[in-house]
Amino acid sequence: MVKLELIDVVKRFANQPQAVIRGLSTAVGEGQMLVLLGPSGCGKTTTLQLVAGLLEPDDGSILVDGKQVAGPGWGLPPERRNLGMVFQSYAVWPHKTVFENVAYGLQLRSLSGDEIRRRVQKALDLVHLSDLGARYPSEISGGQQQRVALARAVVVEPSLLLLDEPLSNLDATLREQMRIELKALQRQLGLAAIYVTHDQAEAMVLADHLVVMRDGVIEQQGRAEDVFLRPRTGFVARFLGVTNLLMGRVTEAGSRSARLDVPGLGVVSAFLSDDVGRSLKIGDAAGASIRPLELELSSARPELATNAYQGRVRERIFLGELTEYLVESGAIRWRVHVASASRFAPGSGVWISFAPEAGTIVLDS
Amino acid sequence: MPGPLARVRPQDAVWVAAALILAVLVLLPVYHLIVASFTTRDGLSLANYAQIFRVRRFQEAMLNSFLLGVASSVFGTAIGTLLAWLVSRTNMPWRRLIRVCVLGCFAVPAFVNALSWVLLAGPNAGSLNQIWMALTGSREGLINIFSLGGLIVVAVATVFPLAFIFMHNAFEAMDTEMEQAARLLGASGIRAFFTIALPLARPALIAAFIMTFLEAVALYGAPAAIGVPARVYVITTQVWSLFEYPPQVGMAAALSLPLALITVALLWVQRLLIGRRGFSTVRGKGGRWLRTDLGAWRWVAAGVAGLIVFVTFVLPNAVLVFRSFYRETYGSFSVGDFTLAHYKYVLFDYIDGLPSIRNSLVTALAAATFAALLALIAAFVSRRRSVRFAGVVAFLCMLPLAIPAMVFAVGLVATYSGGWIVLYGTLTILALAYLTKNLPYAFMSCNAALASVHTDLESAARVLGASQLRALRNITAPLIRNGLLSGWIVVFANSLRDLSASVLLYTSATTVISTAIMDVYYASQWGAVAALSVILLAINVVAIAAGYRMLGRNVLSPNA
Repeated sequence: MVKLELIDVVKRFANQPQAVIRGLSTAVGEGQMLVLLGPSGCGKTTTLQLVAGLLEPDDGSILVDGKQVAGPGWGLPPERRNLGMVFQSYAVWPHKTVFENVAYGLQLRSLSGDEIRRRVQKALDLVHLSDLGARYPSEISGGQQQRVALARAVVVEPSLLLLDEPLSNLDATLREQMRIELKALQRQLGLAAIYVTHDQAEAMVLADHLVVMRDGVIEQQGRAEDVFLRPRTGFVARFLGVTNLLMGRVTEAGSRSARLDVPGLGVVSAFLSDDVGRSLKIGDAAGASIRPLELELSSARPELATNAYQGRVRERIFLGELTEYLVESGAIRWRVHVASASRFAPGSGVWISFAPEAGTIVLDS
Repeated sequence: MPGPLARVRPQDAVWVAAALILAVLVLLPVYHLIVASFTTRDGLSLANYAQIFRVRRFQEAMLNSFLLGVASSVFGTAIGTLLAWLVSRTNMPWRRLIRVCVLGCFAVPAFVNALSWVLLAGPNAGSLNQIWMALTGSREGLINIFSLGGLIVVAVATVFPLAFIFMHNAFEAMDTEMEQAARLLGASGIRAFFTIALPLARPALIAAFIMTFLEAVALYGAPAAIGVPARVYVITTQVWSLFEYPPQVGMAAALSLPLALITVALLWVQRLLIGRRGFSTVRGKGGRWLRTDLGAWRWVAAGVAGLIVFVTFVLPNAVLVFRSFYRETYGSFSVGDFTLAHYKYVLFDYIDGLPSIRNSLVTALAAATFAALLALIAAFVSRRRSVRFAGVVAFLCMLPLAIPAMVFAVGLVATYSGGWIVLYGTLTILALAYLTKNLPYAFMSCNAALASVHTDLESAARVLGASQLRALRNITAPLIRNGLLSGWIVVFANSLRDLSASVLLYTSATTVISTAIMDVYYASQWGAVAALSVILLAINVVAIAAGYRMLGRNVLSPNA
């Protein structure tokens, strides 16, 4: 069953000429975690606030559990949407104990005292805070406050859990640990969730469905793996990790592959998805994205290689298991990651090659 | 081996000098106040206190002061909180206008506000009553401000902006995500306000209750202008009456000391209640503001809020300006009755007119300048960890906050009307009162400005080769200039508007604007009252506006 549906949602702010959300459509299935990923200002938090009922859309509609909760210029108030939300600031109420924080939503639902106690305890157990119910937020750590916020959101059994960069105030180690815990918890409860972040590593770990946003529109959405491996646009390729993006013109386009003429380098063959293929014709500007790890270095020209280019090693950076080489061929500067066992001295001539399916043709953006 | 004098570091000398000056300014009057309260013709005794608690009119005054304080505090805080919530947390229309009007109340001295109310609703002089009588042909006015009820209304109108400021700041500083979290869990806007926002603002609420109470109890202008004609006496007006010939300084001291003790006690209670449990929270993105949607009620809210600021701010000041330009008649309105005669009278004919303006300006300028300099030195000294007992300096600077202006004035009279130095009857004693009473504001301003200058900024200049003095001049001085200036302006404006200390300290040769206004008020020269008040307001507004231009928007906040 679809838990949340956004259909052509548009949102404008009075003081900005351009709409901040421009016709956004997506959906979240039962037990699924949708991650909204994008740079700051792309509209991901606005989208979340629209779902929460903290803002009203100017156009389009929003459905929770198949029921419309917002449409052009109107929206149910947040208290009537049965949602759970974890804020970036945690928003744990400092004048209430941990127990009272978690119990608040249940009290509003007029449950009996026993029932409230039972469910709060269960929620606290779930986030490993069983013994801290009597403490005030000022008496627990930031990571624990984070868990209180989470328990408070899930204890009411919401239709949908909203998470607004919930881990961004934690330190790096705790953040990675919480990521995994959060995912496990969401799976365990079978909760549908929307998670907003600008951290692509976090997005990869958490997303069942990844939505990459830019300037108020969805740039690409799909399984995290698919989006990472087969980016649709140059923006997505760059935003999701390091890549070599070669810009050129399409000279040949078939099903599943295309050729690109890259000025100063030559012809590049790479994978072409149906989706991207539909938007491209011969002569159009396009890019080819090849991740540094997909490239190979050799001292002689590899036989049978479709894409092989001569270059010179400019720099060698030891990264641990991998070594990064910065290689120059003509106007192109490659970033190449290879196992640290192989060694090429700076200044030496090398060949760079990659299989056509290791690269992806992307739209110019 | 260095002699004992060589071990005195220059910063110690500065510290000692500052502490000595502060001790003379602050502690000496307090000491004489206490001593005077125990002094009778027969030596030291408790006779003054016995008298205070035995005589009926003093008992009544204490009861009335208490009633006035509690009523002003309760109603003032309720109104201030309501307006603050509407302005900072809801989608009520005209929010900006309402806020500007409430803050505008601060530009009007409390006693001028009281006099405006008399011009508005006095039984004979009041414009509202004149209009009523003209319209109905009735021989009696509609409202009589001269009553305990009238006094309370005026006191509430005077103190509620203070409560507004406390609550508004608290609501603005509060993370909206706190309320949003409650809304998402199913709480309505109103419920989220009462269960989350209001409890979170509890420290501000306590402060609002206590500060409005203290403000109301320390009022002198309103009880003098409204209470006395109605035979409703409070502590401040009784202290004043004890200065009528022959002055009974000992009795005045005994009557006013409890006021200071209540102030100290309540400030201590406030500290105790709020304590260290200030709610600091991780801030969210802030950004967009979720306002509680009042629906159609927002127009009702705007109506109520608009009415409150109309009655407390617009109407009294409009009447004041109108009466200053309008001939005193009891007939119907006519354009031909507009006149500059009142201004001509107070500036050229009234014998105390110009001298009072000159005296006010001279004393306010002196008080502001010395207060700013002293506060700057004190702030420097108290921030230097290397100086021993630096905290004492800060304490002395802040102590006058706990002493109502009139009580302090009694102390000054006790100190400087006999003995070695006689200052009573000079402008110096007025300037001393203004300086000392407002020193805390100048100190807070300088202190906050200095706190915002990280020592690394100065160190960076030192590392690049600047001497200590040069780093001070090139780096620190420009950075704290605004704090110093805004402190100066606050002291200047507060000095001009003081009545409760001035009324005990002035003589016919040293009358200031506020006392001159009260003199023409007692002579029932309503036009002159209005004209002099407008002149006082104008000087005030010009001073604040000049500061505004020099400092930018935050003229009254230290980190401008």
